[in-house]
Amino acid sequence: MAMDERVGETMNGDDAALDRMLAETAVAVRPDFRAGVMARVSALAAEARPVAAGAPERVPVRSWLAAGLAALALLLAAGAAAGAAQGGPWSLLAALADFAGSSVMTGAGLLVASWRGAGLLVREALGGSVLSLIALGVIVVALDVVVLRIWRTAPARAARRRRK
Amino acid sequence: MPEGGAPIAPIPPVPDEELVAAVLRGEDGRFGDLVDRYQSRLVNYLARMVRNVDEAHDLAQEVFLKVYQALDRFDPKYRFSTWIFRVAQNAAIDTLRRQRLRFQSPVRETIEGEEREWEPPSPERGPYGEARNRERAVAIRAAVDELPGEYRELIALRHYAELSYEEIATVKGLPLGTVKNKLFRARQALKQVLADFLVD
Repeated sequence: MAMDERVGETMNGDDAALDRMLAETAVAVRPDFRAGVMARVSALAAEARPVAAGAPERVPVRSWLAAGLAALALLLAAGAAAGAAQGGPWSLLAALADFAGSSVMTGAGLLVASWRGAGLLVREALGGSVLSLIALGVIVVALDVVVLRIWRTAPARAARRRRK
Repeated sequence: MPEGGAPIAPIPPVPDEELVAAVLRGEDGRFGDLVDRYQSRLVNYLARMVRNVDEAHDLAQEVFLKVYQALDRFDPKYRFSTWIFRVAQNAAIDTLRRQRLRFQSPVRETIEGEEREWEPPSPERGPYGEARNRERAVAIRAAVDELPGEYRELIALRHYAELSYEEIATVKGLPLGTVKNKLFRARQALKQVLADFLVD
């Protein structure tokens, strides 16, 4: 008598023989089966996972820190090599900071200019005919609808893509 | 055994649930470990269910893909094995429905309703050796295929999918006692049909 460990039932000779016979009839899996599955999984992963995740790839903080330190070291070395006479290794950093500052100022100026332009456009529409006022209202409402639709359907689309 | 030291304990296999977590973290290659672990059991289970080895392979591939796509919905409270075989069960039932195969066979009526005589395949004894083995394999497959759908599925889950009685109860949504009872009856039916081979 043998014991079936899973349920603790006793087995007689016939049971053991039947188990053996059933085991003998197991079919062999095709050698390329795994590769086939994994190829399709890879294709799915490439298509669906980044969309489904909806988040940028995670980079460990340690990597960011190492990259930052390497960049700083390179800047200091370049500054020391190029401009020792014009203010030492920090001169390059100071120049970069100046460049970033002026970029911000330029960007802010452009933003102000564009808002001023939009304001002029609206003022013209409001001060013009009733027809142009109505047209402006319709455009604003249509834009709102478009934004709302995109906002509401984006998560559902992502979920559908993930399920495909 | 290593020289002068204690025997090295075998490394326990990584639990399925940990592999699932790794895949969800983005390690898609770990899904291959799950495929390695389940491919034979799945193909064999499906082969007995749909009675076609080629179709079982195609179906098993679909099951793996379905499982992969639904992996983020897997609840680690439950066993992965029961989950994947439940997916496989549904896939097999859908296929059988599509093929319009009769899921229930006359033996069910014989065993439960005793309305009809069941004519089991009657393997005849032939010469020994390879031919005998082939004949035996054919007879066993025929005997399993001729079981009523429910019994055939339980035999497939127990002997080809290698699930425990508890896992089968979870997959089928049946009480443990019912699973044991039905499996006992299914095995009795098989033993009766294969009596000639059992005495070998």
